[in-house]
Amino acid sequence: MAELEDIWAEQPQETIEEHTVDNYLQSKSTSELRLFERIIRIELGVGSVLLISSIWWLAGMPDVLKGMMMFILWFSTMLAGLTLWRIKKITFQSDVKAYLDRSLRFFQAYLASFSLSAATILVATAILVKQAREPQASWGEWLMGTQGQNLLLVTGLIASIMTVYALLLYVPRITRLKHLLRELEEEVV
Amino acid sequence: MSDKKKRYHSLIEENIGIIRKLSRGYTNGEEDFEDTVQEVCLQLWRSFDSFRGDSKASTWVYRVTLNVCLSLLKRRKRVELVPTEQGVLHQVVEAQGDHGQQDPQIDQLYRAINTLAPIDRAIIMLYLDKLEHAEIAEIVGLGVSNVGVKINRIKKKLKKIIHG
Repeated sequence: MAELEDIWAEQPQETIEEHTVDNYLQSKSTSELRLFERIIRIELGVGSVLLISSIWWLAGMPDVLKGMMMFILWFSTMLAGLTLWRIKKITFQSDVKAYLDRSLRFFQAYLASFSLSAATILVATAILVKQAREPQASWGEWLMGTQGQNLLLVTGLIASIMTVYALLLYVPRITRLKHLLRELEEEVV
Repeated sequence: MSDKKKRYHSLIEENIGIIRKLSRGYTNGEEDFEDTVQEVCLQLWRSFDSFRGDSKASTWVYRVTLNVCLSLLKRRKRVELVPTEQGVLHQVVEAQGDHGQQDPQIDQLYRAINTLAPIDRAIIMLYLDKLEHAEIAEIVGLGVSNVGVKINRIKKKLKKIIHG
């Protein structure tokens, strides 16, 4: 029986083609992005549920307002889901650079639409609650009253949670996507 | 092609043997093996700018490959002490490339290496690749004398497994 060293040395010299290495980088980058896709899908669901729960928590809210908020949330969720589906469709037809580019746009668009929906809901809440409870009072008086103060408190709380949520979860991903895109632009893949 | 990409390609071409051999020592099937090699290549690209040339390029490749292999092993959480016959044979056939014939002794050696503790696999593979004890110690983060002792023990263990 040969010595360990001799057996090991008998292994053939290995080579690798340039395009194989390029394929390695490309497929790994794509699989990372697919993971992002899965994560955002989960976040989309969890985020929407959290937002609905927060708004539901507002006491004394008229049923018509609840219905309106549900519709806005449903609409923005559908829109984000549709965008995601379109990205997935494009992925199989296009190259990785186009995919990255679209993913980046999606993340940014999702973040913007999420913030916009939240802002719309909060402003609508303020207007409708004031009109339903104290239509005669001026905005200044109402905001200084108990209802206005409570609403401002809840609004601030939701806005803070959403800001932290966006900063912690989306910004690092967008940064990472930008980095991957820059690498591609430098003819890495 | 950019200068960075050219240098990267040349680094991979020169060291692909290191990457493949070490990866083979930590994987059981072709899929795991290919995935590990890909992950190492990606990691080498990502940290390419941070390599200042303080150590030999091959030493750096050994270190990165080992880190990737160990972290993947940990992530998979399924360290099979004895790999499947089919898995190892397949890898060896792949490794032969154009040579076509499989060497049962290499197959047997990899199978034996796969039974060792993760860090011991690295030590013996680096030793078999003819690295100095000091270089092995630098890569695995152990003392030089400790590496020497470990090599002797692992060799005895491997011989016992192979020769029965």
